Amino acid sequence: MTYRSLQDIVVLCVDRYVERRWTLRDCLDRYPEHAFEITEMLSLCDDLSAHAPEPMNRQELAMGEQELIAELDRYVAARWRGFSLGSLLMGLGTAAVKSRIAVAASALMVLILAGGSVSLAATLSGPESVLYDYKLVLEQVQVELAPEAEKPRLYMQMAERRLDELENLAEGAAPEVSRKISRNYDAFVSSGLATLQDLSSANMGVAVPVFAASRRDYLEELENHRDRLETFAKEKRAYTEEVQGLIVLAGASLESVPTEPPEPIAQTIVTATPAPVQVGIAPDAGESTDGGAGGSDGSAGTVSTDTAPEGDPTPTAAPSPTPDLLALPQTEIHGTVTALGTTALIVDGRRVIADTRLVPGLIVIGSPVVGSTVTVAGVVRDDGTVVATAIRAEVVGPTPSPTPTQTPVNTPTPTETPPQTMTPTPGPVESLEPGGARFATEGLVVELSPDEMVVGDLTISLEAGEDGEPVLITGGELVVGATVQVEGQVLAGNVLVATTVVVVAPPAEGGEPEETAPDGGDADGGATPTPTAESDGTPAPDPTSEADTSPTPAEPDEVTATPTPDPEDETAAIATPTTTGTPDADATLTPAAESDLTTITGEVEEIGEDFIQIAGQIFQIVAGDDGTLMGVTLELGDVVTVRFEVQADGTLVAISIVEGAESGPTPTPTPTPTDPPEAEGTSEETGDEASG
Amino acid sequence: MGISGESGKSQSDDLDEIIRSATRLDRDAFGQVYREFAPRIHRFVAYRTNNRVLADDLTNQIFMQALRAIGRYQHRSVPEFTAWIFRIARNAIADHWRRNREHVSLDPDVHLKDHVDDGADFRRIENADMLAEVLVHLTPEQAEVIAMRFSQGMSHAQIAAILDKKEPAVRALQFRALTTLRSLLTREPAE
Repeated sequence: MTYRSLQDIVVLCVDRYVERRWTLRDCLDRYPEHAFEITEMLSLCDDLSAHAPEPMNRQELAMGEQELIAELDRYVAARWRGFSLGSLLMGLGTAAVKSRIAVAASALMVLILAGGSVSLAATLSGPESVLYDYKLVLEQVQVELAPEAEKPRLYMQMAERRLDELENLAEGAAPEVSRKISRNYDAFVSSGLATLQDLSSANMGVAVPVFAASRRDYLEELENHRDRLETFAKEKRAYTEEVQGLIVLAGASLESVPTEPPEPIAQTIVTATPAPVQVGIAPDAGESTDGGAGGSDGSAGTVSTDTAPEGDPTPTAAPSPTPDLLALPQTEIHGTVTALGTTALIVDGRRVIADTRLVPGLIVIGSPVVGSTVTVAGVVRDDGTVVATAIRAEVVGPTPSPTPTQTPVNTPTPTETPPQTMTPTPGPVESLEPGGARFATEGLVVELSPDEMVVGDLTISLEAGEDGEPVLITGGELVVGATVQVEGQVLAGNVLVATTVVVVAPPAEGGEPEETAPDGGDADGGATPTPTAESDGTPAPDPTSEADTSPTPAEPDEVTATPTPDPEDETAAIATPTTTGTPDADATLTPAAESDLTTITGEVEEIGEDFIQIAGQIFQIVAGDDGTLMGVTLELGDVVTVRFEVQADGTLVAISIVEGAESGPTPTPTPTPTDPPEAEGTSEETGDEASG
Repeated sequence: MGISGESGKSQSDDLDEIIRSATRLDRDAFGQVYREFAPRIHRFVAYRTNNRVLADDLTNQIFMQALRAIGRYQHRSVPEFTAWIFRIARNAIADHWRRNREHVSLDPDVHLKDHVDDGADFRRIENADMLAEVLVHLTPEQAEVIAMRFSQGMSHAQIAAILDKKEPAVRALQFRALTTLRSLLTREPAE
């Protein structure tokens, strides 16, 4: 019989009791000397369970779900419209934002009570006043307190005030002020539209006449706004960029107003699963004839395929998003962006809708700005509007790339290095999921910093999300000059965020000697990445081939030709998986049994049923005789070495896991320890139970 | 549908797929995720706050926050998602208390003892209010462990994932919490 402390005994009994594996009697039989403590503790456990709150009832659950879904619709609509007033306005209806508004309103009330005239000052304050933000909050509260069906009209009222402010803005006012007004106008118009879409949702239970009245109010106001904006643009010729953007916004919003009877957005998305997303994206798509010099007469720059009839690009009937995009003629246009809104742009006078609610798999490569040249693939509506399925913006000015990697979408240019290509993420269904705009590209890394890299002409963020999920970098070391395949997501504002980066080829010898990967140190002053032991310096495009020979973190100074991780930064040193060298490499290199295996050494951060996490990367553990060889019983915090394989889809599959930093030529896997059924107990406990 | 993988692999796989769809802001999937997890989150919050109305509001907030953050969540497994959403819940509760300064001072008459005498009178917890009264004497982490263990029936491994701790640490937290509560509920025999 092994000795157990009272604490061990109580913990054991409590756990068994809570898990209903032992009764009180079982505990007392085993540990009669502690009957008093055990009895009280288990009584306490009973009480702690007995007075747990009642679960939510069905009605509460249904109400919560309804509110959440309404919020989701608003969020999706606002997100893709480049909502700009931020969380203040975006989360209307949420308790969190309500409380923020309430706090702000309370602050305003204090000001009112304290100063008396402050509220009046706030309501009269112009956009350059310090009270302007309070005024916006006050307006927001006014809308928030109104009945749902009234909100679209009120939002437009608030938007109209922004128009007034823009028209009255003194010439020479700071550009930030006009931009601020424009953003707020955008936010109010978008909020109004999102509310209308909520009202149109079947589960909102709004009567059709009520919805119709709200819709009419919104449309009338918006059409009026567009007229005012166009007049303003002609007469004043001030703040051209903002005003043009707002005109586009107004037009796009008019088109997005839900029709009667209400049609849920989600349904539209599902039915709009167009093959056209593929149009013109693949490198071998039909070649576009270059135009690019279209005028402002309403004609597109260049239309390369069967296009729709030319017509007034300004719709008058405000059609809803059509579900059968598939049936529309496909087109590709190439030209200059003359105006840019949040969900639409004008390319040489032709209106292009770029809205992920219509085409959830919309691919945007580059950052279209006014003046930039773009290639747009999409379909043509009857009114001549192009609904984009893919947009590629070309770089204005010289390409920063050391090699000509910038390749127009449909004009493949043979280069020595792999051209940067733009491909949709495989799987049309997945790529068309709502909010799932994704991108994939391949090319040379021409610039690299800890938070972003430039691949060809694309700037791609490498920053981890707020939940700390790091970008998965596999295949080798990410350095300037390397050829990489990148997949990721296109966020609002066309920000490209990488989710996976596969280094398919290291830099060619002699190229870009100064720059190193963000976390990479420089042991010998020369940061030139070394090709593989067998390499002749020619970058190998095969992602599974040997990329480079890197030392194990334990003995970094044994290798002089390879960028060495900073020895002081242990995390950085072990965070990047290194492709192992060949068996005859230097003894300090981690040899691999097979050339396409890689290893990583690090602390176990997380363990799941079929995975292990090290340095933020997930390695799948495969069960069975041919599965992962386990040389260690996994515990959080242990340092282990994982030998793994990179699958074609980027998944990392553990081949073997051994304790500590790998030192031998091949890990000696021991049989997988079987998890005892009483795994949460101590070894003493197991022995105890076995004897019992 | 099981959410802890206990009720069959296929159901767990289904939930995996639903969560993946929810990360892409699919309406139906998000609704299903809510139906799966909201009752557990609500019960956890209610246990920690002893206020059902507040629990309604906070549960709502938690899912609104999840909605905004789910685009950045990369789904790997249901337990991981459970840990993720419970972490949001913990933060929401902590934020609420920070905002509202609901600090309940310890009862000066309560003297915690390392050892409870055999002859002492051990009181039972009679209702939810009394439960809430004694729980405020625990540290936030101890109270969270108690809430997850006794209102949810979570395993130490699940709790460890949520608290980002190792299982032995969770066991120790539970033991200290129970010892504290037992001490609080024990009255000295009348002299």
